[in-house]
Amino acid sequence: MSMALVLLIAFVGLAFDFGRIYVARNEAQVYTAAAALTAASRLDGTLAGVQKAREAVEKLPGSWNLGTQRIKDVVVEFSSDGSAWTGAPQKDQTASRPWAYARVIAPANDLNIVFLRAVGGPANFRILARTSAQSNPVRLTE
Amino acid sequence: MLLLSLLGGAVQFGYTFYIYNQLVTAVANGGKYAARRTYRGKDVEKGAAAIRNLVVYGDPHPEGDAVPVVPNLKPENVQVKWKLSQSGAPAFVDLSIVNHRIDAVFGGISISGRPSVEFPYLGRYAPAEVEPWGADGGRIWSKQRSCCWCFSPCCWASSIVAKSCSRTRR
Repeated sequence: MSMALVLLIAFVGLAFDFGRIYVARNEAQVYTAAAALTAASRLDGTLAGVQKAREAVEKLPGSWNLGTQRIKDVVVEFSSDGSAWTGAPQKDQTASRPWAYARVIAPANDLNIVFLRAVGGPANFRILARTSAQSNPVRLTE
Repeated sequence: MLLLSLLGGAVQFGYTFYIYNQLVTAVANGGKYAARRTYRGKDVEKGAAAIRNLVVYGDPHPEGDAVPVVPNLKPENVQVKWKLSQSGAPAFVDLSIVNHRIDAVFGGISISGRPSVEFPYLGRYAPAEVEPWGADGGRIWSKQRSCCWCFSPCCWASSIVAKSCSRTRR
């Protein structure tokens, strides 16, 4: 009987915690998509454009965990070719290959696990989301 | 009793999370659509109606018998806010669900102001334009629901081929 109860609680935990994880992942993914488009729309190939992109992403509202928490520690990276990314572009690349790609990563959003913890599950689950976009024309690439 | 409570709770929360996730996806789709849609300054409300319809029905001009993507969701539950730049051109579009109740098995949960998204505006800004078609999707449907007409011959042809004249549109 007690074994069955533990199993039942585990399945209830599965429904509750995985439901929250699923929603939180979707929310974070939607946010990074909006942020990547915002950053890409500000890029003009120059370092000034990169700075504008960073500022625009900082101002963009985004929430997760059923809309109750603000997405934090967002990382914005840039690339001229869509493959080599850097978080801190150092030089103006307008003449050769302009900064044309932006990638937004939300790496540090930990969701508290409620039920599964009671049956040996982890205390937190890290929600990762990442989206990249290119400018001119502005569109999502990943 | 305890077992029933646990099972009931699992169903209640599972369904609520499922519906909320559907809302997140619907609002995100609406945001992407709004971000690309031509902003016609003389017909902002018709544009907003199309955006609301896309969130609720997955189609900016749904058929009269269209089913919402989430039970009980109505266009008036979708709030569309444009953030304009100093020149008057749209800079961002903000979509959120307001005054909606998710009815699960044992009672419901009211949500307002979430989920919400904000997308940068990437479409064409046309301050002097009106919507080329009405909010009904471009066709004027007869009250008899037997035939439709509009000013474009291709509309005539396509509507006859599709035999969709007997349907009403929102």
